[in-house]
Amino acid sequence: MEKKYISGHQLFTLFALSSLGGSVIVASSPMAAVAKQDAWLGALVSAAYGMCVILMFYFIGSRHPGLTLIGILRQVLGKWLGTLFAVCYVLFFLLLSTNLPWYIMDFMGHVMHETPQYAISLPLVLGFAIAVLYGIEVIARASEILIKFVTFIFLASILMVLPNIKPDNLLPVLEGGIVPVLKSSVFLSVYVTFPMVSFLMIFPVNMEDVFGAKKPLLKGFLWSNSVAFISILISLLVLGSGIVSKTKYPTFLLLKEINLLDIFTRIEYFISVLWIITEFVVGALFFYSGAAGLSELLKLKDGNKIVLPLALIVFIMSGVVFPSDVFNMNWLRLGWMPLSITMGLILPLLVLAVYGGKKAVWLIWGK
Amino acid sequence: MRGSVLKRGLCLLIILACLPLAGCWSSHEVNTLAICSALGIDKTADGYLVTEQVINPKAVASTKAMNQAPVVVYDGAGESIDGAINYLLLKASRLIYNTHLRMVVFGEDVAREGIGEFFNYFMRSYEYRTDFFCAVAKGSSAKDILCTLTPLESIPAVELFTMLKRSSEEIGVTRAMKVIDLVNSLSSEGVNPVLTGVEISREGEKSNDIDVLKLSENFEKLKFCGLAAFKGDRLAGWLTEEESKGYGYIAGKIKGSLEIVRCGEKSEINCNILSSKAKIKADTAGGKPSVAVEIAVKYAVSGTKGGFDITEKQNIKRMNRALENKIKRICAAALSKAQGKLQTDIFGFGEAVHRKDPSYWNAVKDDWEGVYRSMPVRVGVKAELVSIGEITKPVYSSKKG
Repeated sequence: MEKKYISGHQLFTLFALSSLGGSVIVASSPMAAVAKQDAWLGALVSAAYGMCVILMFYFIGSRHPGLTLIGILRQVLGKWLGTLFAVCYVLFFLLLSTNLPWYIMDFMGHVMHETPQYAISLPLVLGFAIAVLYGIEVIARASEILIKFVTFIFLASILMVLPNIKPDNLLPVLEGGIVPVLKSSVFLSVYVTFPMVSFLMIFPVNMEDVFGAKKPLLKGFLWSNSVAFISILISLLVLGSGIVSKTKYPTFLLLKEINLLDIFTRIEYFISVLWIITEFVVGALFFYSGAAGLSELLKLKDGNKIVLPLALIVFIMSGVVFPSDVFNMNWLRLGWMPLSITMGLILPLLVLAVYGGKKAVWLIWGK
Repeated sequence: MRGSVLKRGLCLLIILACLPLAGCWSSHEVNTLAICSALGIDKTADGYLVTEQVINPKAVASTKAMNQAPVVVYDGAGESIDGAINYLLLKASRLIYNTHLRMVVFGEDVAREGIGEFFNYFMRSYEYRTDFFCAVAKGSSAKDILCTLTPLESIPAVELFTMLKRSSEEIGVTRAMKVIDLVNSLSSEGVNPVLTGVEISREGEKSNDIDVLKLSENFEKLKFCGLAAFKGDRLAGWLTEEESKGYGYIAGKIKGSLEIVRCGEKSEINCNILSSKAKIKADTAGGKPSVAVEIAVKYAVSGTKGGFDITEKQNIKRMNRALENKIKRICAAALSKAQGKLQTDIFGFGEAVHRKDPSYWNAVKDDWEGVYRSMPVRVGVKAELVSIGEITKPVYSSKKG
């Protein structure tokens, strides 16, 4: 794929929306199941160590300007091991891009339960394909516009639900000690932090000055974590941890509670607009990462040629990837957690360690 | 060049035309729906009798005088609500549509047996929102309540909904409990729910015929009466109207009310409660739990009787004391009923203890009822006069001459 450059602000908006991704509407439920009324503390903890993880991504990327994640893996880990991990990452990204339409299908299926699922995922996957064909620059520019919508919808809906808060819902603080809080923070990190390893496919190559990526990445992370934190906090304050932990889409239920002077009411589908936007951006991002990674692995001259076939695979897979929502819930707990931690934390740490080791060896040998 | 632009345009058009198709798939036109405004649940021998009050669009939307009842009541028996509603299609041509539900009325026997499982259904089904109110039918079946027509609002469920909301704000005898709060108090161990009772005031002709709406009085009306106190999800008993008010003061749910207090021999003062705030503070020192309730009340004087001069500073103090004592008496009545006869913690004292001392709460929560029954509760009231109205001294005083 030809080289296209994105600006720092575009990186910020793209990162912010992708990092928020699907978490805003689903993450608070497993968090509240573990930490009860302290789940909001978990969001803070997650943001604190997530910051370090993002800095690690930045460090890895900034030491290899002009290389994508695939190139970095090959350079650091050697040709064979590097290629093996690169294949894992490509499959990881493509798997994620099949999951995201499924979530939209599942969510919309609650409302439009007679609509075939594929009718809902078709426009989405088509959108992914068109976005990737136009290139990363266009996705980034779209995110610049979309973030304004998302911020407005989010702030407006939170403001309107504020009259319903009950501060007592957060008490007593730290009832179960600090351990459940730490556990719950992982449930958020696997959405907002670890999958963002896919930005190593973008910013080392698509930024003119790779060192300028640090601030936008951190800013974007801060933005998405603030949104996630506020939505978790307000969900707990309005609904109470018992209901939040047992609801599939707590933020959606939260907006059902809006009733401002009997005029602004029944507007819960606004949040689904927000959700579809962020899921679309993150889906397009993963699909781009997968397609770009695959074309780099196969050393294709024109990476765009594989986009449509891949889109077809993603489209078909999106309907069959999870047979049911119970399957999906078990997958999130047993499959997604370790997978996300492996790909987003352990492997980058390995890369960092090998890179540091090589540097140290080189320094010693150099002397 | 021109051809490719055309081709692209055509492609775009086809794609754009496809996009909204996804939205039409599950559409239900309004004229295929039976929009339900209220749902009633009664017990039968082997399940439930579910009553749906369906809005009759022909009667409600017509500009002419009504010659059909504004609502039609369908009922069906089944093992579960969903099952019963499904079978209603044997009686009605339109799809029962519950998204605009305003009221759910439980029959008293259903309430005594437990209402918790119903909320598993209401919360799980996508069709229900969380903006309806619940009530318990007292002295009649839920079906009878739903069959009663109301004169002011043509849809009885809307009348009940508005009446419940307004009365809870202005009188404080009722409680308009949101579904979220209700579910939270059903599932919490430290607080038990209350629902408002609704009854038919039998004062004349039966109101299931639109002809009675031609009368100005002497027909049956729907009426809210005190609160139904639950223990867990089961109805434990009824509070009288005064006890319901006491519950409202302690739980901090009163937004407005009216208290008549006596100052001295003949004087009576109407105190219009403008706002009331309550703080429940638990103390678990020495393993002996106790609760202190601090109630702060703001009121305006809306009427005096017997020549009581409310412009005098001393009299204001007397009036404040009298009001404080009155509210304390009301609260004591509610407390003794809830702690003594009903033995159910409707005020959320358990939650207060939980917030104050989680480890102590974990030790006693299994036997909370026993602890609660004998727990000392101190009620402190602070009344503050905000306004005395449009006149200062009474314009008429019987002491004249």
